[in-house]
Amino acid sequence: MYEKPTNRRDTKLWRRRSRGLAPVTILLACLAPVGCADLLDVSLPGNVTESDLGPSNAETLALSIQGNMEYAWSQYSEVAAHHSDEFDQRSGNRQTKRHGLRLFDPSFQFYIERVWTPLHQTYQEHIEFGGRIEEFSTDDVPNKADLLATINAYGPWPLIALAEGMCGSPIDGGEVLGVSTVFALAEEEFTEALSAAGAVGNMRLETMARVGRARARIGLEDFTGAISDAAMVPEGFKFMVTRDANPERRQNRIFDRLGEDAGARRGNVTKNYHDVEWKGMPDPRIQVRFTGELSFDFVTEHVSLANKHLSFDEDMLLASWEEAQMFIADASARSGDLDRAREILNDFHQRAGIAPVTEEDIPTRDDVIRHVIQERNREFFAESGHRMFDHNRWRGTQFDIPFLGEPGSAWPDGVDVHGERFGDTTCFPVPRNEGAITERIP
Amino acid sequence: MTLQRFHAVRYTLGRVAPRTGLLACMALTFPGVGTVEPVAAQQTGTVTGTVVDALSGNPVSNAQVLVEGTGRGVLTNSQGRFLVAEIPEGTYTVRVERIGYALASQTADISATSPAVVNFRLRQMAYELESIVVTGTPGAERVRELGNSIGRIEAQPLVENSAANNVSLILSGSEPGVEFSYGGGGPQAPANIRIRGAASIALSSEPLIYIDGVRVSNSRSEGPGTSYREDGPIRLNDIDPNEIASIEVVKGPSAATLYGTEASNGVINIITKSGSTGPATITAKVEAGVMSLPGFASGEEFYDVGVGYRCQGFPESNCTPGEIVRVNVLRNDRERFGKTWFRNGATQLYSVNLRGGSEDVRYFFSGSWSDEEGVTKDSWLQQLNTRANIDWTPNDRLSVQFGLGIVWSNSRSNQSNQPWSLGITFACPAPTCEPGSGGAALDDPTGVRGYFAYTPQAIVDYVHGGEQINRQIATTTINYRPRDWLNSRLTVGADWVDINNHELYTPLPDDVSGHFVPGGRKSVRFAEEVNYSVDYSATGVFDVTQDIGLSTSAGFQLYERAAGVVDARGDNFPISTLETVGSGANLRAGETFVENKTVGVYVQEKVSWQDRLFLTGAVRADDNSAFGEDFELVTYPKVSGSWVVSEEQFMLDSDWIDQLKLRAAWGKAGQQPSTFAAVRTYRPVSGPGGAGTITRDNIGNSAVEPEVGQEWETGFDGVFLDQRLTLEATYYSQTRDNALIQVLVRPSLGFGGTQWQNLGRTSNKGVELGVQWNPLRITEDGPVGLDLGVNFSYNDNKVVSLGGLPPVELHGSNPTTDWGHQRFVEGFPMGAIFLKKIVSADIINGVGTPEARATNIMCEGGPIIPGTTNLSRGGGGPVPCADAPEVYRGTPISSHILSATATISLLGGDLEVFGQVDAKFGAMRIDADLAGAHVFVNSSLAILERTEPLLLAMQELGNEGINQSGLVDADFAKLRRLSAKYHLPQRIVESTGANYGTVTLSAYNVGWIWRAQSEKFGLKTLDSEQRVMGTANGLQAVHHEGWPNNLHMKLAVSLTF
Repeated sequence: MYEKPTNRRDTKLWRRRSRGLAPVTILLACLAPVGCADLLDVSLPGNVTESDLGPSNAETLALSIQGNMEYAWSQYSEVAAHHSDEFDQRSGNRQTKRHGLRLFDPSFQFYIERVWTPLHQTYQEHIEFGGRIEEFSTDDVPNKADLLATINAYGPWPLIALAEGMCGSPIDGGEVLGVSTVFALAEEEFTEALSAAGAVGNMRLETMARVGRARARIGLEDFTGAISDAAMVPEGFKFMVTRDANPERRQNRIFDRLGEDAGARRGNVTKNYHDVEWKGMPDPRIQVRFTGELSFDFVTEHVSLANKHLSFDEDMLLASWEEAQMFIADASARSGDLDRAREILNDFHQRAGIAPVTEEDIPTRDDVIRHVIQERNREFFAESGHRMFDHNRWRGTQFDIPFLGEPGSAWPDGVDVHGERFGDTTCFPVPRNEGAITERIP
Repeated sequence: MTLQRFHAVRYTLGRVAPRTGLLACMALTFPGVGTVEPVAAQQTGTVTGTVVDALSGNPVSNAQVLVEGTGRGVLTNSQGRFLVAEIPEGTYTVRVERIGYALASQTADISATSPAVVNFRLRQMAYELESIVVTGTPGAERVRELGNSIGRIEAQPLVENSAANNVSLILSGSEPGVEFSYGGGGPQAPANIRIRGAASIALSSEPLIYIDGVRVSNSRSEGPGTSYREDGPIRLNDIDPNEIASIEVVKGPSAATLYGTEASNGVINIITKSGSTGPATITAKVEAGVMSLPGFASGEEFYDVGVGYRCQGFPESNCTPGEIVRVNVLRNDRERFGKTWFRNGATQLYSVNLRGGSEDVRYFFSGSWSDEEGVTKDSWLQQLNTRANIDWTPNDRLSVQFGLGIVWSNSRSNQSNQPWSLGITFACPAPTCEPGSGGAALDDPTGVRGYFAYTPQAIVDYVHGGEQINRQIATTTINYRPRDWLNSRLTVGADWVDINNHELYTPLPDDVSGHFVPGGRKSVRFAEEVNYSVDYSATGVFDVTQDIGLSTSAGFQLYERAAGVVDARGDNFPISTLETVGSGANLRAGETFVENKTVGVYVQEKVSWQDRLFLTGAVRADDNSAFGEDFELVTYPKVSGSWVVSEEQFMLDSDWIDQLKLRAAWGKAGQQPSTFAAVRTYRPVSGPGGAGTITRDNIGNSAVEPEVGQEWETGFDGVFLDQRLTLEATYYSQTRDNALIQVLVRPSLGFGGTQWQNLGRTSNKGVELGVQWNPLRITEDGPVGLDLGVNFSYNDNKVVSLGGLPPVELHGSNPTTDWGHQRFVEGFPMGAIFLKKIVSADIINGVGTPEARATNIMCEGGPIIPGTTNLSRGGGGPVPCADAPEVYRGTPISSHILSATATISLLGGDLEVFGQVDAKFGAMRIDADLAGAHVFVNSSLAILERTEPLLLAMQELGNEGINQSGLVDADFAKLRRLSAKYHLPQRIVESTGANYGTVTLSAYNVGWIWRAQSEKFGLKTLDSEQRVMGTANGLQAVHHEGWPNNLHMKLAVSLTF
């Protein structure tokens, strides 16, 4: 099976081919006193240890932060969409069902392993790997500043997901922090990222970090700051989480769960979104497709998205000018600048090719905010966890968006199409490993 | 006087060296042995005959033949023949004795005119003080010297009595305290081995396996071709039972000390057959049989579990709307589409061995070819085993044993991937299987036809794969005695296993539905495992006085295991005829490699008094590559004593005690952490643009230590009533300290998973009892012989401490499906099942209507167990289920295990009828097939009828209720084996050129005698014995998605030339 390898780490692989020699070698080694000390040496050819993380691997460390953040973001985006009212569960697997049935509890293993942990892991890795690179000399790593800019730009994004989607979160094994504290930490980290990117003149990273900081400031209700950042995002800017067909960590997770590919079809677009309209006109931003296949529950017909998340290698949204514009609309509406908000919302309508929204349609501040919520839903449907954040941030207010299973939702009686009862998860809980929290901490 | 008593008398003559002086002493003790007395002055005659092993038919040499009342006797020669001459005419009892065999006698009429011919078939004894045990000792030791209970199993009877040709199956019930549990049927039926309960919280429960003193793989196959999750075939079953002479079982830490780290789960040492002095004998065996569903049932009979649909009234369904229609998808497939999916699989085996040799060189060669079909077309096995064992004794100081076993097999298991049994047991998900209702309906030939997810057609006809194994086990043992008082032994060996596991999902044509990868997939998994052993020991024997002897031993062992896996998968073939990984549009690949080494040294001192009282002390020190940097080495001490009390003067005159040994032992052994437990690691993962990146993987623990098992045991072994009764009884008490627990890491630290920490303590106590009773001895007591046997074991295990942690969930407790709810809780059995317990509920919306639901659901209450938040022993009054604790519902492994055997000998011993009943008590199962049909796919008749308030309540509780609907009492009694062996008449045997022959008809897993629970809410639970195997440390209470244990039947003809 194996060819003789050429590097030291694979020595044991080769040795397995040299059958019969090993026992004799071991015996002779032990009989010679100097040989005994090495008897317990074993090789770890498939594992990386701390001693491997030196300057020669600095670029790998930086790229790892990008890759790990992209994986975590893809995972979070899917779970957030599935948990919000965007997707209906259609799984034949009891664990996967729990996503859509809002049956998260602090011991929900899939959630812990596939959402919570990757987010924290990426954030902590960005601190560790960034710290290691800081200590490398520029002689050893000439592009050190560029690498740090990359690490600093990607590293804070997990905090956005933790603040928007979770009930609260500890950082670095400490006490559970409220979401505003996590948003504040994200803002601080993005500020660092802006200077790191600026120092090397990397405009794309700088703008990406600026969108991130604007998003954190929306969470902090620092509307002035959010508008200030968002306004600096150039039109047309889009920064994507790259995806490819490489399985497991690299695929578009929403297609993996919801797509038509065999083994997927674990969710449907919820029936409320099958014919979305504005003033009698179909809204093209949410397009669904009845695939004619059975969903993974082997009972119901599968309904997938028709205009996004169409393949394993379709990139996923991380930061965009459209989001920045929506942050401005959001912040403007909430700070009372309703005209600016309406103007931006109309721009969205215009780009979508649907009838404009007028002052008569949304005369009051509350109406404008509701329309912002709706526009966020349609513009960023199944993207970046925006809907999940809206569920959470408006919970218990006049803008409350019911989760599935709650009155006013697509399944108002608390029972889904299979007769399965919905649970009561709202924000994502802090796992039991950290300490169980189920209420969202401000 | 029997030979068994001879040893005691020997001391009246002066101490002689054991074994070497035995034959000489026989001559002194029995004046007639080997000599001919002076001729008497009367008519005399001759008695002659042959002594053979009752099971193998091989000649028994050096057996003592005595003609009672004459003082005349001889020893049999190398061909087992004897002749005693010059016996006065008359009727005599001829008695044959040999160490290791039960005595036998026959009546012979001696006349001067013609020699009397009496032939003997000796049965091996269950217990014998002079037997040699090779396991767990520095050198071979006699049973009398051992302070531990070491199980000794003769393989041949089990092979003959078992229709199954599989080591793990034939060993069922063979030794008290050794439990085999089975995960399902098929030629490569998965199994678990557990010795003396459950001690480890997070590590494997599997014992170490040795073959002829060399450690071999005790892993199990993984890969799509043969295993689903971790239910793959175990490596033990690669071994051909026909090449095994005996199996010794070291049951616990007190006996396993000399095996050191890794041995606290016990050790199984397989001793293969060896050559014998004398002319070559050839034994050839042919077997043919069948493997079928239990009870010879057809698929549609066996799987008529009790599912259906509520009729909606489609014209095609011919039912009344609202009517509950029972569905049998297999019958539907046969009646509508002419398709059947189960069969009675044919099995055959051809085996031949050659043995013989001189005093200097003895040889044993064997080969066997096995071809087995499972009960479905996607289940089969072809296996070739060969073995060559050569013993070379160039002089009386040196002997060398070489052994080489080669295994090749090619198999396919219907356990592979997700078994399509799921499609049957979960049939009719929701109403869409009703004829006329669309693509999932029973009458749609291109749909799933009522099956859940999988159709047999898609799996059997469009998924192909299997596993090829190439395995070589080489052993060399050199015994060298440089001085009369010094003996040394070096054992060197290796076990190489190459496994090629592969599976191909052919793209499904448009008119076939029923698996998850209709676009096609090819998976391959190449695995290599090597185990190297070096074991050296030296023993010096000194006689301090005539009565006191010392035996001093020292030795060292090196052991290395390395395992590498390369796997690859390609999905989505552009053209359906493609069959390679590279043809897939989506590719993935991986490689893993783990290596572990142990180095150990030990010293042992044994003191003996008059060769009947023995006291042994030993200590072993180990280091292992998996220990943390902050941990140096571990030492394991042991002390044991044995006293052959039956040889004391005060017992020599006993009429009913033949042998009696009292014994006691205390000792420790270890269990190493996993290979990477100590090390902080980062894992390579695929990154952007196809680049390689890394992510944090294992947080590591530099202080991790081995688990340490500590055990004391005491008991006695005795032979009574003129060898009619053999008793072996043992009480043991075992603790496992430093038990490793996979403590959840706080993910916000940036590491996922768990950290291995030595926090736990567990205990196991139990009793083992082995009884062999021979109430009727054929010819001596009449024309019928009867042997009865009982193996019984009781085990009480519990978690003593979790080191301050809250209850720990059973690792691997099926995270993908949510079945389980097993935990380690202080004061409770290992892997205890905790579930809310619904005690009452009411039905609203009309009993029996589709809208019927449970309400007022009450669960059993009870005080909360300290240190837990919601666990209780129960016993409280009813409380609303939302507020109710999870109540202790039972243990996943049996506490009481009983195996009873009976052998009836008829026709002068020519016909032997054997039966074995296995029974297990004290365990619960969660049958996820039941739970799934009841409240997951909601297709059981009971859930459709909606009249059972408790079942509706379970449905209402969702996740907290589903396991309750599958919780069943797993106790059972099963007729495990039934066989009839006929010794072919000599004239028939000789007409073939052979000198011994048998025909055996046998059956395995014959049928249930009793089951504590065979259904729940009207839905059949298919196999009380079956569990998920490899996951969760063998403590998994859940079973789902697998095939039942099979009924095996075979006819075997064996001839010895």
